[in-house]
Amino acid sequence: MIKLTEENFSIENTIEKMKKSEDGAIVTFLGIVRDDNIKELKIECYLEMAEKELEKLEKIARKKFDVNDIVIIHRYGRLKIKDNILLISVSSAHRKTAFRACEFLIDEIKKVVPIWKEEIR
Amino acid sequence: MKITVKFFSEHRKVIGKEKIEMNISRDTKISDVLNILTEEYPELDKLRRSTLVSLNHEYTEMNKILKENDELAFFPPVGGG
Repeated sequence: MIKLTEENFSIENTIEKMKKSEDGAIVTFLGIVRDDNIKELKIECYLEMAEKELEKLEKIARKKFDVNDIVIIHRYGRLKIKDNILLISVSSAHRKTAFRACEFLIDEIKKVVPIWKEEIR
Repeated sequence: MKITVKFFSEHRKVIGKEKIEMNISRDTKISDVLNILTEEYPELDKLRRSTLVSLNHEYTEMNKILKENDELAFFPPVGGG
């Protein structure tokens, strides 16, 4: 599941919804706004293209790793320190697969998904 | 031919608009569009080396020839997450 949103998300609800009996592990990455002496973080997004790129990455990850489910939620708009930015949640029968898929996704998201951060001081 | 050009991040700041519509002749390449825009907005030249381009929501190359109603976008390297 891919979602680009201005709204906050609940990590707990997301994980609860994706849990299946065949899962042995759910690995979650949460990106949050770090205090680099900023007031806010403005996140700009090319919505139509970002959705496409995220869908492509989800497909690649599903092919590359033996995962059961993938959830990616990326926020945009103006965020404050400690606000949630990005949630990647990967479920699999085994933890190593879930860890690897999660790391692959965050690395690739940073490289290709058209989203930009601007620090507002 | 009519095309839409969108701008993001630094590129949007230079142009001062989210998007513009342009009328171009047949066989116009993406690089030609960038040259036309750079004449009007010389600051774009400073961003040229790091400029990425997409065509109809897919990454593409500057030498691509444009078609009617294409949606182009120029932007700097991405950095979400």
